[in-house]
Amino acid sequence: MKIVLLIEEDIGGMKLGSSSLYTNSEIIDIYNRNVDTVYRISLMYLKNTPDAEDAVQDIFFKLIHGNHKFENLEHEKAWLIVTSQNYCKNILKNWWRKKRIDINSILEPSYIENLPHDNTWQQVLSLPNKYKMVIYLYYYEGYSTDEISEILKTKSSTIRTRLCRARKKLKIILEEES
Amino acid sequence: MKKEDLYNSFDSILPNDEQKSRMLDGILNQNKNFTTVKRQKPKFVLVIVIVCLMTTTVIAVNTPAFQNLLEKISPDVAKFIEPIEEVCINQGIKMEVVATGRYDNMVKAYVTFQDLEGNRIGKGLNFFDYYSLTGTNYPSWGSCGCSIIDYDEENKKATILVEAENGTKFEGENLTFKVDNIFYDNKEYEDYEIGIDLTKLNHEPSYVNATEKQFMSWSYGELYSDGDSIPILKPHVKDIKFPDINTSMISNIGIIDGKLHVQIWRNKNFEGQGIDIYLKNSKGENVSCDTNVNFGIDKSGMPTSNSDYPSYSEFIFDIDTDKLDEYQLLGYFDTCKQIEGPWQVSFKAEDGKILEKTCNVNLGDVKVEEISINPFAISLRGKGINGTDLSNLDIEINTENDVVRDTKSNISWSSTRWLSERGKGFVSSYDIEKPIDLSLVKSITINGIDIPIE
Repeated sequence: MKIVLLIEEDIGGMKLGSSSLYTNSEIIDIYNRNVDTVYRISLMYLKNTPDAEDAVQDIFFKLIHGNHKFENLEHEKAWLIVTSQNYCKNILKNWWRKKRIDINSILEPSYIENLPHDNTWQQVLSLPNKYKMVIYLYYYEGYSTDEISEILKTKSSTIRTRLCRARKKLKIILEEES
Repeated sequence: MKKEDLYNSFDSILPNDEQKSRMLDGILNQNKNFTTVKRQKPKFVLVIVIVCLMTTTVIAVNTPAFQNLLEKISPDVAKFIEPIEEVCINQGIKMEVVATGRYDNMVKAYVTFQDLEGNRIGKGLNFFDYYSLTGTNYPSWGSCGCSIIDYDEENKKATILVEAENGTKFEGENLTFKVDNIFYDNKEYEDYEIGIDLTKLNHEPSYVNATEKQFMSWSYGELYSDGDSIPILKPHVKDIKFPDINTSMISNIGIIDGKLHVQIWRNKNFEGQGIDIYLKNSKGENVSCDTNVNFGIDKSGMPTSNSDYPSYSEFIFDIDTDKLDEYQLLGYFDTCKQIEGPWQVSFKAEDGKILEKTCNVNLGDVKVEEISINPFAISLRGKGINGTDLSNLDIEINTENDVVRDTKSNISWSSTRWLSERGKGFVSSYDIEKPIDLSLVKSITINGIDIPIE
């Protein structure tokens, strides 16, 4: 009946799944390093906690079974940022998930209510997705526009334009990037 | 808005300890076999009946369902479950809760589904999230999982194992298993060629103006959130069907203000469908839409966010419409058929016997304060440093016959939950692959520390 659990013997040396590069311990380390980032991005896109949690699990599962080898921790984080964004975009296109949310909202009326209600966060959520991501990476993660350009595989000029427009929408009071 | 406010707002968005623990469990246990819901652990024991419901509810009298089940599961497991054999028939589908067991905060149930009228029940049977075992949290939170353990080709009968686990003991004696919708005959179409010559599209189609408030909440893209009026193709002036796919069709298509609009009608009765419309450019690259808005059409023909009305989705592409000959219109469709239920059976489930022991076992970063053992699992409760890896404990169960169950044979870590409300408390569970007779248990050893079990 154990369908999923892949740790059977000496856990310390066992790989999580026959095709994974990682041991259980390594997965937990990667998870602890990045779960907050992946969760924030998922919540920004999906706007409800249950779907954000599902997304976090699927995104890390992709990492585990994708046999990705990273050059360093920054590379690891960048991969998870991009994968989170792409995963959430795809989720938003999926019709049955959308219908499910409708039905769930009847069963579980407090989905959105569980989220923090501070005005700033609500304004971020209301931004178009392409602006949310740039704002998040620039103002929270501290990446430069060139680094964001590299991570999102988008021209630096486009990133700057999005950042500028997002600032106007949020009426952010700060100095422009030099 | 100040930059600091923005930073602090992002910084406050964090999963709590319980969420982190639950998600990590799901990652390590993710089961791709049947359902996307995270797995849980077992438990068993008996029960009796009650029944329930529906249009047609039938009490099984001479159904040898339990005997049939015993042929499909290990004899070691059979000793710890009790027959239920409660049936609900609806829409020609028979659901039977054959047997179940319940221990503390865990429940395991064996349920069969059989089509009495056709061939709708197959190996691809799925409920998505439309099922529940009452007493658990909402299924998508990861407390309930289903998996097909057997499919009988001859009788078109699928046997499902439902495993549920609560953070705390299940409340009440009665359990109810309910399935709201059954999905079957799943088909996926990628790069589906829609076959429309984009160079022949109307550049002056009729359209209506809408605002963000008229769209459903999952619409996305730059246009709809600008607060401006957004042109949408006049709804449903075309019926361009997709061969093989009868759950959607193109209801309009054209160029508005230099942007390609593709409007799709969706059959609301089929919720198990995913749709994406995209382009392939001359380089062979997929081009996603820039905006996707979803809406219903009310009686006056205007877009509305009310999902009670016929449902539409419009894909808007901001591409160079002078070069439409360089693009091909493609679709992704994930379809399945759906039968609406519900199927529901309620039954009385008594708690099975468990062994409990309070203790004070220091394992370094954590201290185990309570141990409970049931035939299928061991639970350790205690306190310690949040996030401590408890997956690699060396656990042994020692029995009167000196038979040792240990983590090298058939005890394996299944989950660790960190309970922030209990002040760094944790519950860590370990599955026993071959269920154990509790009357034989003498002691449990954790990392070399022996704890007698009374």
